[in-house]
Formats: sequence, structure tokens, C-alpha cells
Amino acid sequence: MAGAGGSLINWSLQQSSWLRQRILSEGAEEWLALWPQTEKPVGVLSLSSDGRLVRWWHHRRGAQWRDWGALTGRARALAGHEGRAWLAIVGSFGVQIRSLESGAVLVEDSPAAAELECAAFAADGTLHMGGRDGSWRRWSADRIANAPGAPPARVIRAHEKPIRALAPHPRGECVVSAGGDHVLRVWEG
Amino acid sequence: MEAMSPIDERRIGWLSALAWSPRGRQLAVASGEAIRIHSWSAKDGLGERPLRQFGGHDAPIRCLAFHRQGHILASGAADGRTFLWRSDGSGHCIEKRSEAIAALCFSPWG
Repeated sequence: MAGAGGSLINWSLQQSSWLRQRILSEGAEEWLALWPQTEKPVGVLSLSSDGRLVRWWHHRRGAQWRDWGALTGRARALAGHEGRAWLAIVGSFGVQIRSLESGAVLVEDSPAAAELECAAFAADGTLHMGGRDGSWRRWSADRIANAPGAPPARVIRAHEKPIRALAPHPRGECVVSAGGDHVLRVWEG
Repeated sequence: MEAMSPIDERRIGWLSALAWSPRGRQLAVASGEAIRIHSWSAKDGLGERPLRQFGGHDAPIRCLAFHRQGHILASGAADGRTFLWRSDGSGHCIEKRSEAIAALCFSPWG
């Protein structure tokens, strides 16, 4: 699936050839982020170009079937964790973590100094967030779940310029950050 | 804010997207119009040099996604093109649109 200028395009790989199945939506928007939900219900979440709408799309029918309402600020990125049914939305307002099942806000935070640019969940549920100020924020799964005794959030000076992307290793061996300072850094997971 | 030292770092150039292969043995890095594939192991870290470097876009890449089986990497760029790349570095453009490709993901069926 690819987002471009408001089109959500669905492709199918059949017999080593790619076939466009359908265009799900046409409009003036540009999708900023997509995240695939692979367990039932199967679908994709999209974030509109104005950063204020998160929508669910049904995979097979190609129709919008849920809308979580307008966000209070401009979102920049989505990240999901299926096992815990969490969706993180980051942007100018900080971070919101919602239930993938109900859309309810579970946790939110508004860091005073940093507008957040990107986010990714590690397999163990740790949420990694990159800021425009080059900071890297780590929230443990226990902290998100409000477990007693959970460690505090960590804020690390990672880059001199905004963090463009964060990629936790799928087995937790490290975390990689890409900075606007043109540097790729590898950190202990 | 804490200070922490990275275990590795590379000055590569303009960076826009990262993607791990499903088993975490390769890291795809989008740098401008090119894609670099680095090997990874917990013992040796990122390889000294990228395993492969390839490109076909005419504008900066904005997004990367690995197929769940790891044999295909998709890239989307500001030139409106979406490429599929195989593990040998061969690739082809599957779509050209007038707008930038902002996001990509694979469904569980590919």
C-alpha cells in the first residue's frame, strides 16, 4: 500500500507480478504515515496531511470504517504495537497512546521543549520517539501501562539536528537513529 | 537530557528512512536518491561497508518497507515513483504518480 496525494493504493503480489487493485481514496490530502494492522480486524491506519485525522481503512473492502476524530495538534507519525494493541501518535502536541481496539487515549504527554517527529515501537513494547531538537525519548512498556515501579522516561541527546527516523532492531539488539545532521547512529537496545 | 555514547556511527549524508529486514540481519538506509543495505550482527555490528547500494529514483526517497518474508524491499520517493527491489539489488518501478509517495506498508498477504 502506498500513500500519495490523497490516494491510498492497494497492490497485490500475484505470480511475481504486482497488480493495482483499487484506489481507496482520492482527495487533496497526502498521507503522512501508514501502519498495517495484521490481526483481526485487518486494515491500515492512515494519517492525513494536515496531521489531524487518523483513519482506519478496511483491507479487503477498501472503505473507511473508523475515524477517531480530530487530534488537538498536528501529528507527524504513527507507530503501532499489535501485541499490546497500542497506537502511538506523535507530533506538535507531544505523544498520545491509544487503544487500537477502542481508540481511547491511554497515556499522553506534552514535552515542553520538543516537538516530536517520528516514533517506533520495539518488539518488547518500548516506545522510541525522535524530536525535532535531536532528542530521543524512550518509554518502557511498563511506563505506558502505568505499572507500579515503572522506570521514568529517558531523554537522550542523540543528534544535533532533528531525528528523521528511528528503527528498533526486531529482536531488541540495538536501536538505529537517522539524524538531520546526516549521521546514522547505532545505540544499545 | 542524558548523554549516551552510540556503539557505532556513520556520516552518510541526507537521511530520510530506515527499515530492518524481518529477522534483523539487514538494515536498509535511504540516503537521498539511493538505498544502502548494511549487514548487521550483534557481534560485529554494521558491516564496514554497505553490502549493496542501489538507486533508481530521481528525487529523495521518503519511505521504505520490507516485505514480511524479507525478500522484497519497497521504496517510495518525492518523484512519485514506487520501486520494488529484490535481494540481489535488482529493482523495477511499479508505479509513477504525479504526487510524492509519502508512506508505504505491506499487508500480511504481501
